[in-house]
Amino acid sequence: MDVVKTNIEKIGGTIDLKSTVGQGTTFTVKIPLTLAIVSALIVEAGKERFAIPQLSVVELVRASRGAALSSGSSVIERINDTPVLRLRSRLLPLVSLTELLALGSDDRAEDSAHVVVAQVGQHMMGIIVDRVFDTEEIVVKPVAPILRHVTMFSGNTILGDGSVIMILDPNGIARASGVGAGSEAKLLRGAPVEAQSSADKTAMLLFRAGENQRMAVPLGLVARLEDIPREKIELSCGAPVTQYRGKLMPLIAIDGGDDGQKPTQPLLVFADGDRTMGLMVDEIVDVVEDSLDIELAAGRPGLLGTAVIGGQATDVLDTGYWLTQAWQDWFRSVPRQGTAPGQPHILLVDDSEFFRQLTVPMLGAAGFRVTAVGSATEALRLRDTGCMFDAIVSDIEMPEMDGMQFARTIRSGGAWVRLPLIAMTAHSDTDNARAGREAGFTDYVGKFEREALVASLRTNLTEPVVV
Amino acid sequence: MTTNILERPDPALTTEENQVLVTLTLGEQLCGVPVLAVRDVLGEQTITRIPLAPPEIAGSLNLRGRIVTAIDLRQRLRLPPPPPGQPRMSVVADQGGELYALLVDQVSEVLSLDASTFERNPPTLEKTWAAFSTGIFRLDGRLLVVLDVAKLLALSGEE
Repeated sequence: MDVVKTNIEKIGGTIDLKSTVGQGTTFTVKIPLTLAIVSALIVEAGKERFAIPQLSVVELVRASRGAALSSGSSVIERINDTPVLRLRSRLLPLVSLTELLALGSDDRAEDSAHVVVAQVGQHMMGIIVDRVFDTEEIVVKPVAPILRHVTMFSGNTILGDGSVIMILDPNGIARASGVGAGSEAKLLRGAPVEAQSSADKTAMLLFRAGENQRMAVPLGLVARLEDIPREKIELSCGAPVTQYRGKLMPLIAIDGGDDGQKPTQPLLVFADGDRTMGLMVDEIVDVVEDSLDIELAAGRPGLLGTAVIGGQATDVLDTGYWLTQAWQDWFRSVPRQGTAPGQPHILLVDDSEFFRQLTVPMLGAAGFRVTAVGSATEALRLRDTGCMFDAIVSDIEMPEMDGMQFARTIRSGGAWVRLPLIAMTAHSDTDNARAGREAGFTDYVGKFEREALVASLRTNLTEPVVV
Repeated sequence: MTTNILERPDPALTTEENQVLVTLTLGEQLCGVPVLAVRDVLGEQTITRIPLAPPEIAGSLNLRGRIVTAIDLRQRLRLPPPPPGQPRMSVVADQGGELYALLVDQVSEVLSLDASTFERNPPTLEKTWAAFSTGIFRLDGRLLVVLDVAKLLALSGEE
C-alpha cells in the first residue's frame, strides 16, 4: 500500500482512505489532469476532423492519388481497389479514413492526400486522410455509453476552438481493417518475422561513464545491473575483481569509470555461459526503445560508433571489446572496420541470443542490414515465405538442425540455392573447414573473428560494396 | 405507469393534479417532457457527426465544456428528416451522469397541466410512439404526447 501511495504522490496525486469497521474501506485515488492529456494530431477526412494520438503516429507521408506529381513523390497504388503505398522498399497497407468511417463523399478528385503512418503493435499501416492540421494537447474524455460499441474511437474531446472532435483509436482501425489479422500478412511478408533487424527498435540501456559521456548498450546483452559496495572490490594480480555469486568476476572500468569517490559502484554485468564480467560505469541512466543505427563509426576501441538514441548522440558500446578485456580468450579482439554505405541484407542464424545481439550491431556498423533468427528451422521458414537475402551467415553448432545440415538443405534447392553461405564456428581448423565446404558453405570463419567475417561477406557478396 | 416526475417529491411543481411539462414540436406533433428531466434548452448548435454511430445519434456538441451526445428525435420516432436549413433546438437531459441533447424542431412554453386531462396511450397508437410515450394530454384543440426521456435514451439497451 505504501508503494502505491509513494508512486501516486510522485506523480502529484493523492490517495484517501475511509474505513468503517465491519462495512469496508473506500479508496479515493486522485491523479493529476496532466495524465489524461495526450498530444494528438488533428486530421481531416470527409469534411470531418479527427484526432489521432501522437503516440501511435510514426510519420506523415504526402502522397498523390493519381499519377506521380513529380519523380520521387509517393503514389497511392491500388491492388484491386485496395490502396497500398511503397514506403522505403516496403508495401504499407493503407486504410482510407473516409471509407472506413463511411463518411461518404470520398473526394478522389482531389489529387493529393496525406498518409499517417501508424504503428499498431508490431504492424504498420497507413491511414489516408485529406488534410493534416496541427498537433494539439487534448484532454481525453470517454465517449457516451451509448457509443461504446463503436470501437473506432477511444474517446472524444473539445478543441481550443470549442468544437467537439472524436479521437481515433488506431487499434480499433487496425482491427476493423484487418491489419494484423492476417489479410495484410502477405503485403508485409517477411517484415513481422524479422526477429531483429538492425533498423528495428531495440531496448537500449543508457549510462554514463568516462568523462560524463552518454553511452548505450543493447539491453539484451546485459545480464544484470548491480550496485556493489566499494569495499567489495578486491584486487587480483592488480586488476579489480569482485566476489559475485560465489565466483570471482573481473571488473573493467571504462576510462575514469572507477573514480573511487562514491560509496557504491554501479556495474553492468555481462554473462555468457558461466563466465561473467562487470563493467564499471558512473551512473545507469535509463532504458529506452530506439532504433540502433550507428551513424558514425568509432575512432577509438571499445565503442562501435555513435547513434542517435532518445534524441541525443550516444556512444554505442562495443561489448565484444570489453569482454575480451576481461577474458582474453572470450574471443579474439580484432580492429574495427569503418562503416560502408551499401546495405546488403544478411541473414544471421545463431542459436545464442548473446552472439546475435553482438553480431547484429557489429554487422550493422559495417554497413549491412541484418536479420537474425535463432535456429535453422526459423531460417528455412523465412525462405519458404519468400524472403530474400544477399548472404547467409550461420553458426555450425546448433540444436535441432546444425549448420552442416542447414547448408545441405539450402544447397539442395529452393530460392537460396545460390546465396553465399558463410559458416561461423569456434573450431575453424582445416578439417572442419573442408567438411563445411563439402556441406555447401562458401566460406568458413572463426566465430569471433569479426574482421574476417566482414571481409568474407564483402568478397562473397554478388553486389559489390562501395567502401 | 408512473413517470419520473410523479416520483419526485416536489409539491411546488407537481402535485397529483398537476404535471409541468416543457412542450416541444416534432414535425406537426406537439410533445412534452417533464420539466424536471430538462437541464437546458439550447438553440441551434454546431454538432460534430459521429461516424458509424446509430442513425439516431446526430453527433456530439459542446455544452459549456461538457461533451453532450445529441439524439435526433425525428430519427428516434421514425419521422422524416426535417427540411434542409431548418434550425433545430435541443433539450438537454441527464441520464446516469451523462448529458444527452434531444434534437427537436422547436421548444416552446412550459405548461402546467391538469391531471384530469391525462389519458393513457390509445391502444392503437403506432408501436414506436407507444414505446416512447407515457400518455396523452388533451389540450384545447391539440393533443400533447408525453415523452419518456429514459426510454428515448435507452439506445444501447436495444442493440
